[in-house]
Amino acid sequence: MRDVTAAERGAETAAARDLRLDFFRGLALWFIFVNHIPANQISWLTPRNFGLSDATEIFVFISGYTAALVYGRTLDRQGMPMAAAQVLHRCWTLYATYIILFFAFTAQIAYTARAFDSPLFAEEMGIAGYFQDPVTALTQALLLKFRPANLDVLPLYIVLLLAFPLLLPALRRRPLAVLAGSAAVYLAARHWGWNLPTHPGGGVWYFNPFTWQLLFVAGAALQFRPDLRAVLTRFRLPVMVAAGAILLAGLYLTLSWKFAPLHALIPDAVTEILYPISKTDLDPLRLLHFFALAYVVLRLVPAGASWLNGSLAAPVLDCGRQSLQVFCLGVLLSFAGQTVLVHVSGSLSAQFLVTVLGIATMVLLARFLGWYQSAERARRHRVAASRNVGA
Amino acid sequence: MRGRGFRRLLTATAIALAALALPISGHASSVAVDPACSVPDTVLAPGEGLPRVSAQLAAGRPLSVLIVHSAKQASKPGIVGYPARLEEELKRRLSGRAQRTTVRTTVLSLPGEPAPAMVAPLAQAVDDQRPALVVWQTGTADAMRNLDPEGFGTALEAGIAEVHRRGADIVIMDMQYSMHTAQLIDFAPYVSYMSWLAQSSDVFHFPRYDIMRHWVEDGRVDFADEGDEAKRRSYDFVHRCIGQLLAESIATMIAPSAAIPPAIARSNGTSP
Repeated sequence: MRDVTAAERGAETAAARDLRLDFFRGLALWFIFVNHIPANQISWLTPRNFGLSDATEIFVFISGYTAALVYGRTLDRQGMPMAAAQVLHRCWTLYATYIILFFAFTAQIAYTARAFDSPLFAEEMGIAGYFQDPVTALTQALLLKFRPANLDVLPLYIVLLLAFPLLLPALRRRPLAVLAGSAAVYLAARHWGWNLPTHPGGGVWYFNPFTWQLLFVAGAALQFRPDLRAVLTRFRLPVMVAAGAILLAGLYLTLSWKFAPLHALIPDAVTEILYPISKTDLDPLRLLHFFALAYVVLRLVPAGASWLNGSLAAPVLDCGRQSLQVFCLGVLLSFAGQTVLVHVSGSLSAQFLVTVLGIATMVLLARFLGWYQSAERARRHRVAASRNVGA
Repeated sequence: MRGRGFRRLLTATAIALAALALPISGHASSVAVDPACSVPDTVLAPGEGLPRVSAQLAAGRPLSVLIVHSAKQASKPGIVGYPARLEEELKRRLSGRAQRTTVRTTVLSLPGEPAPAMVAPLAQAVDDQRPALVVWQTGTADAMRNLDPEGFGTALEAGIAEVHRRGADIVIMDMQYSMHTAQLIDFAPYVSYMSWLAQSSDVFHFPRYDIMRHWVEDGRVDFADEGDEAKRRSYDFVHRCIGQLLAESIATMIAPSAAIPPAIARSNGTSP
């Protein structure tokens, strides 16, 4: 019985789960949590303040990569129907999570929204649309169209995964052709302004799925082409210099939003070309910056880096392995954290405490889930083994 | 994860504006702003000037101001918003000028409208009324409805261009701030777009969002108190102070050469 578990584990590690995937996804989740607390000054430490791309790019790219890894394996072993069923099962889990999250969020909002009841804010903002027409708001929420702030990444993730079974066989066979198609959709969406609508009317998805799919597909395509991956990430001085230059330019631009003298040094002609840098439509500059960042980081952190197995990296890795649950918890925690900072105390020590406690809670959940999953797997094997003995 | 660091942008704008305004700030107005309302230069500093308004005043025409906003008209009696207060505040500040200046304000209320829907009525109203100055408050509905920030920016640019084409100056005003509303609505991309656009197109951006945040952080107003009396008090405080600060900014920006020296102004300042 022990042998079976070991064999299965062996198969998993044999497929070479790159620890860097879990590490950087875990890190992205931490950043997303911290960034979602507006009153938290510690969020200045996260990458969005030092470059054009941020944690969302990391999260979406790695999600595409791991989706290809996991479902590609199922496709090889058990065929397309099983892989599609697995993806759809995952979507269902995500959707259920989204709805649960939505209600937990609504409860928190209901508590906070009493602010709109003051004549000062009611005059300009109305009694917040959220509660004016609950029937519409709820049906629209089920359609993913009514999305309170902060829940944006999840619907994007659901839509991308829903489309994934359609792409999977083609991706497996001709990853680059699919990537080219994905790039064409990206360009078309940017050119003709495609996006999905939101409720109340007239709004668009904060993360445009037609543009953000490119990163997801790029991650998946690279997973299926190890040869190409090796070529792209090989060390070449000119590429390294170019990537470094892009990162420095990104740093300069982000700093110029904070320090006017830096902004003044950029010629008008350049700002005309650069701006606006759209996050909704995944601006090419953000893409460029993300790939430069990925290149540099992958060179700095080789696949077998020993510190990834150390105790310092362990909490981050745990979060990266349970990304869905940890992401959801992070969204709730960041809203709760903001409420604490607004209603109880907004001091620097309170901000620090909220950040540390929030991340600790995320790690605890991740550890618990990890333990539960391995224990459950062991139990199943035990049951299966005892059944065999009985027969 | 969202937004582009509006705080940085606003600080940047404020610093830039402060640097530009240094030579002319400090005189212009005869009536001080209520100390409870005042905010430091890093939050609010007057812009470069209102050349079209100054030209009209120099030609002896009245100062006509059109306020376009997306709020409902105050319905309850006894409630006076900043649009209604602006005329009086401007009169008090301009009464000391060498030539007598008449101040006239009109209000165009487009409740719940996002910026793209405000441009046409705004242009029409400027056509009809021929004001010297337009105060355009917008962005609230756009942020509440998650409208595309780029569409918002395009509309903003279009509105500014329409007003300029008709020979009037324009001041743009952003949203209200409270920690509670800001927790539910993501204003950041819209505020930063306004301040960035103002910076690049030489239009004065009246940073109401940052002003109100300064008051909250400074403990001058507390929106968390849910008593009716407290709500009425904060309403009154915010609108009175916004009216004063807006009037002060406008008065300061009307070309200082047209204004009489502050010493004389002060002696005449109290007369209605």
